[in-house]
Amino acid sequence: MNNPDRVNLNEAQSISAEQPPKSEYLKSIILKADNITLKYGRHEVLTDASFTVEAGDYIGIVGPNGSGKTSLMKAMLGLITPTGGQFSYAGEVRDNRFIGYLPQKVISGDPLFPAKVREVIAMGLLSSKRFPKHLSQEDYKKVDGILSRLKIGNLAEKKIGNLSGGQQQRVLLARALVSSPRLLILDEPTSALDPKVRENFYGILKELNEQDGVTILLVSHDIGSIGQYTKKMLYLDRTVVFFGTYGDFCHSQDMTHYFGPLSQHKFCWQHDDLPETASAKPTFHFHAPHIHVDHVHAHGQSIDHSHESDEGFLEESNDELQRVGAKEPSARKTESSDKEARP
Amino acid sequence: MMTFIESIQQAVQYDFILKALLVGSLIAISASVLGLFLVLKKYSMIGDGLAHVSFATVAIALWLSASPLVVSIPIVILASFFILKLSEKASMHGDAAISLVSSFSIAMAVLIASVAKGFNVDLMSYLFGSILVISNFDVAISAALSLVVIVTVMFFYHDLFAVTFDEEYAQAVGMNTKFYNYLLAVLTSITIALGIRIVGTMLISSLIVFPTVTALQVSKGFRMTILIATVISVVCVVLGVFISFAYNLPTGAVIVLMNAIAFALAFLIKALRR
Repeated sequence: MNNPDRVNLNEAQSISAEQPPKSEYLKSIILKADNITLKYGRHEVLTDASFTVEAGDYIGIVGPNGSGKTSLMKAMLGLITPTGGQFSYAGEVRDNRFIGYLPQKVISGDPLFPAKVREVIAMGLLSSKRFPKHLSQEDYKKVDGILSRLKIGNLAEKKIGNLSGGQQQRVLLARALVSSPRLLILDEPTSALDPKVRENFYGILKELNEQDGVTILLVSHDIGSIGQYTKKMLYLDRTVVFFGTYGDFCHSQDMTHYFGPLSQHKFCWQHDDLPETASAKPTFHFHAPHIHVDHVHAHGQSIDHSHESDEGFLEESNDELQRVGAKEPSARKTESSDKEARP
Repeated sequence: MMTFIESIQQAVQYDFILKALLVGSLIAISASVLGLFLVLKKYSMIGDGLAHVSFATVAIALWLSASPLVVSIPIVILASFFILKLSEKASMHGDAAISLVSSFSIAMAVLIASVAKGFNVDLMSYLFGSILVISNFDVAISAALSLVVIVTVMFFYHDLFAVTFDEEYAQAVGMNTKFYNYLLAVLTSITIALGIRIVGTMLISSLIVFPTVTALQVSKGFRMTILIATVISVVCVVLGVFISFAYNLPTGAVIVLMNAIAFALAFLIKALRR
């Protein structure tokens, strides 16, 4: 796809690459992906993906199911090797130990696993240790510190398998954060969370990004709501469809063509410069926040079979919107069942 | 009861009982510190498979009139690598890979025994274990190697924990997960090759699985589980050796019986706690 945004980006990239790497004035590039191609067997899941991550970025990696976003993330972590192209890490994340990772699946699927929350979180400190690895009192102080920061100090001595999905997710976030990483990679972190916990979770991430300057890459299929939290969007569909800020996204003609004006507007969350025509449909803004998150969530999933016709997608979006709006009580019901802790 | 205590007093005067207690306890400890990692990684059956391999290697050793331990350990380690490779490369599940290697080894053992004739009785003692066959050389090697296993697990405890909990995460933060999988395989192989002497080929995997599963019933933390498993296992081995001496029963079988009782008790405690 010939996308002006991408061309611009590539130019910007080559310019900043010529700068000295530790320039204080420019935002320093910490991760650069050059023409990444990923394959599973013969099946190519991602082709020629290029983008750069700067220190302090908060990027939402979005796309339909099977668009290659999880594969891309695994490749960034070194779990799979690209068949083409390469990643270059620089500055504060040249080493794996400066990267925190929150996997999608909550716990290894084994509720019997005998691990206390403290033990699990302490695992996050291991990558910075050398043989023979030993966890000192100081390390456990760090663990307790991150526990209280995420307000889950009461879980410290609990068995991880006995916690609810939301609690487990926060424990794994604590594990990712305990080593004070400079880059945090999260894979669908909110898919198991109910809306209230989800808001809280995004609140924590925002604080990390803005106050601690942690660079965050967040993989999500929830394209509809991710725009209200992240600063940049990397939209994948087997290749990079869009990469840039939400402002750019909103004003890109290509994206209007790709998603249709309504979805484009909805995804970029730039409500301030809302055109007159759009404000005639107040449904977007005046929904209760949790319902809003929910309905868009459903959209993200519906994207993958609605690409061919943008108009079809548009109609579908509207339908969905009304349906969800009407079914508020049932939506609440599923939330509360999510919240229940496992026995 | 008096007679049991008397026979214990009598037992400890025998050299072979003391050797059995020493070697048995050390093997019990190494088997139970490895057990939790193997059980949680769903490799419970690897003990069984490798025990069958060691049975075949014992047959080879007896045939060549070599020391069974010296022949066994390297071959069993190779077999464990082969099992890992099979499940990595040959699109085969771990349990299927174990089962292939295991039955092939038994077949080899039976073939060698029938070709070589004349050591069938000896070989039998490896099938169900016998504390009477332990030489001083065996005691020295067993003690040294079990200590190696125990110390290695202590040194790599945190890494093994991370790899067992979530291999993908461990890899993502830069750990060499493959190395730890192979390390576990080596340590398990050594333990198995040493252990078939006491509890026998058929029963050795119980030393790996039983105490761990028993401890899992009652524990919360990872370290605690290993500790409980170790204590249970040593107690079962010591009791097993004494009881088998006092009532003239096969040692390996009594040890497994003790483990079964311990498991039943732990299960009961868990049920009552609810």
